Amino acid sequence: MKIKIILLWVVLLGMVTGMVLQTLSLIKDNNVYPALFITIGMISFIILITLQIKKAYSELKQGIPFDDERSRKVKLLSSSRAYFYSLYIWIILLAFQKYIEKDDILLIGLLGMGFSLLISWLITRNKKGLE
Amino acid sequence: MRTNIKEYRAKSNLTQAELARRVGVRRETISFLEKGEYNPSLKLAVKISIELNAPIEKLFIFEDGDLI
Repeated sequence: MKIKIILLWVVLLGMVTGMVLQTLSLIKDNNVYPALFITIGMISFIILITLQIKKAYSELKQGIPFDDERSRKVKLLSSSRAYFYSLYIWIILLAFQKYIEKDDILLIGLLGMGFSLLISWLITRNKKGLE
Repeated sequence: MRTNIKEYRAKSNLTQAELARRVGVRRETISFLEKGEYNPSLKLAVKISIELNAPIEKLFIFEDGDLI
């Protein structure tokens, strides 16, 4: 469990570093509003993730497992559904590649994958009759 | 499927959180079980049965058509 938390922190650090570099690059090119947008998003993201990690850690201390059989099933089901939704997202994006910039295709595709996983997880976690 | 987990849990004076902690699952899982909205693994069903000192067939009631 500690290794998972450490890995999570490493990934978060990488993401934050990437966002900071992107923000600095935008500011250098005088794109203030996109930089501000990314900064606000980054701060919100850090706050949310920190709160989630704190909650998970305090639950662990109380003897509440981070994962149990139901939460693992929810993850598996939501991940498999998100995979299929992601395939469709990429197919649609590639169908419109003449009209969209390659960088934008990548950005929309990656955000779409993340978003489809989030939506899939939100729907599945409250699903009745999960076996 | 419906369950009598809530009734047996109340007899044992246990909260959902305490029962969850004893059988090694999250509180939400116990909540879904009590509402009959989750089918547990055999291992979890047996753990709950032992913890609540009740036979499995009294805890988990399958009605007509549930077992098809």
